[in-house]
Amino acid sequence: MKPSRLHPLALVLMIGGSLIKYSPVFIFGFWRDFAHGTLNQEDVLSTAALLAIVAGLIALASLVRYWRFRYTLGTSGITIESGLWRKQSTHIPYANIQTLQRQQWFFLQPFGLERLSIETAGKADKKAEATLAAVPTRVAVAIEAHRHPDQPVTPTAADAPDHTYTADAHALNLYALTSLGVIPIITGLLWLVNKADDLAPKAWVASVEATLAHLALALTLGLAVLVLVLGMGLSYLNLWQKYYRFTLTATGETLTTTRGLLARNTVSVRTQRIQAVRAKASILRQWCHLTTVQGLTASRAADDESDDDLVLMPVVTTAKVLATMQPFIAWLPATMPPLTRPVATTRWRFARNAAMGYAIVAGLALVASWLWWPPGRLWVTGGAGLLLVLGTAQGAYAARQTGVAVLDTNRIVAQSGHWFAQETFFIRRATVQTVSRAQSLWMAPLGLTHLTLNLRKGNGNEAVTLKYLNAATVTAVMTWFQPHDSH
Amino acid sequence: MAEQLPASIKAAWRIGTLITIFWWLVLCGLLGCAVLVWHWPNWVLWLGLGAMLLHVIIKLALIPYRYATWRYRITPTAVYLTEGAITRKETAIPISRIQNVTLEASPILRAYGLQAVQIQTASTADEIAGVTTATAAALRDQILTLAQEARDDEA
Repeated sequence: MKPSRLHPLALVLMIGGSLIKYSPVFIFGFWRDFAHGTLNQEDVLSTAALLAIVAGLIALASLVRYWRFRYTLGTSGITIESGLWRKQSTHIPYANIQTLQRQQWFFLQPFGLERLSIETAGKADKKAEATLAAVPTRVAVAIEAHRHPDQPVTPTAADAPDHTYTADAHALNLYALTSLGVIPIITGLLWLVNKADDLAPKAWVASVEATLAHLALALTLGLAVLVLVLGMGLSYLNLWQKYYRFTLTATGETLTTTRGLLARNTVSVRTQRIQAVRAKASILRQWCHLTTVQGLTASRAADDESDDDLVLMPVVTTAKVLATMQPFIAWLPATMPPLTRPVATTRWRFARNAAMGYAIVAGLALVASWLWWPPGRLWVTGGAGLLLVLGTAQGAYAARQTGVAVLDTNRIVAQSGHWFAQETFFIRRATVQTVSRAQSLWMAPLGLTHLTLNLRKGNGNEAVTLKYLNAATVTAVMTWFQPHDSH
Repeated sequence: MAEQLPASIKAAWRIGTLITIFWWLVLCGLLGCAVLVWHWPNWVLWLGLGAMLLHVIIKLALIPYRYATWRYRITPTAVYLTEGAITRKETAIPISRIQNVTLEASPILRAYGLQAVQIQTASTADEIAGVTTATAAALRDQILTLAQEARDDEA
């Protein structure tokens, strides 16, 4: 096979991507001049010239990267050559590919191009093993065909999938509405509103303040409502476009998810490569009886750059999780087994531990306010009290979510609560790396033990920790894990 | 049978604990600067020194207990590590999950002719804190041979 270059549009994407990456430099550069208030023309011009040089360098670096980049689809694997000074040649055997991610932005669609990210279980790098910024869609089809030589080599579109699940509009609506993603957005907006004062030109602020002084309260309230509505709207739209027309299909041993409005995202993974299945519900979604199902894979960027977990179903009614998922992942149980939970009399320990964590923060804040900020003492004391209540509630919640059930010699179900979200893991014995149990001196006479199941997730470890279980329950799990040894 | 670590590890741990004093002194030095330069209250420095003493004394006092609880056990299917003076932690590492075994020795361990045996899986790394150099090499060979057999069985 002859080495191929990326499509010339890749160069545009590379330059655009770099410019976005370095955009804080540009924004900062101009803001500094702007915020000083005195819009000195010379300053602005010199900043602009400097930034133009930076932009030029960025474009040049992208050009070199594009020019040196070549890929070859061989018979056994894909080879990528890159680098100007430090030449790199990476060979990825098709059999080692964990996940193949295809991302097609709407503007690439007319050209039949997409971005390909290839992930293996290699632990060496934080980035995807190989990213092809813009290649024709047939490249992915060819790689898929090589990955599954047992399956007929026909365009995947013509293959009838064994099972298909499409998130309906109603489910997606609920998913977006119950998202807690609105919190960071609102925080960000509030910060901006707060900062606008410092960053806007002084003269402008003064004139606005003078005109609106008598409207201060109405303005503040209006601003708060605006921030809230805007934040919720943004969060809603973002999730809605991200999971637009979400489909999960199973073809033979391969699961494929497709989603997205602005960028169509396709991820495929072998069922056997899924380390565990996680059903997750925040307390808000629990009230609405909704659950998100994710697959833990041994490669990073399975789904998103910021998230290792592959979303298998964005939202599904809690009662129907297993019935809906089982056709796709055969080893999942058909019904939820009864879980062995910590005894009710030990729940207060969860609450105490969580409250203690917050107490340290609260204590430090109290000391600091006592020493350096006397007028704020009352506020800080109130905040510290609230924090303790929050911690207690969080611990009490976690206690009620903790539980474990051994299904058979190969499968286990573990449930836990973190930050007001319930997580249920469905795990096969073959993908558990290590199991550990821990018991402090004072837990021993009470017969309480912590249990940790370690799973591979992304490039790291996912520790599923269940606290204050009965020692006998934990011993049963150890025996399940290593049946031939005495525990 | 569960094996105990060689007794010489206690001395190595003691020296390791004394070395932590150095880091505490660096911290206290910084606190001292803060007291001098920014007029922080004196008790901040005393708090730092007190914490140092408490930490070092507790760590030294716990060494015999730490030693008494440390056990490792190698069966044909798994490696078991038990450790911890106050919280006892037992880890089960199935032989078939082991990716590699690394022998490592800090200068302190080397001075006592000891080596740590690191056992890595696809996502975790656990350590037998220190065994004699000869035992370490033997353990590594034993674990890797078992791992090879486990893989052959699966194939």
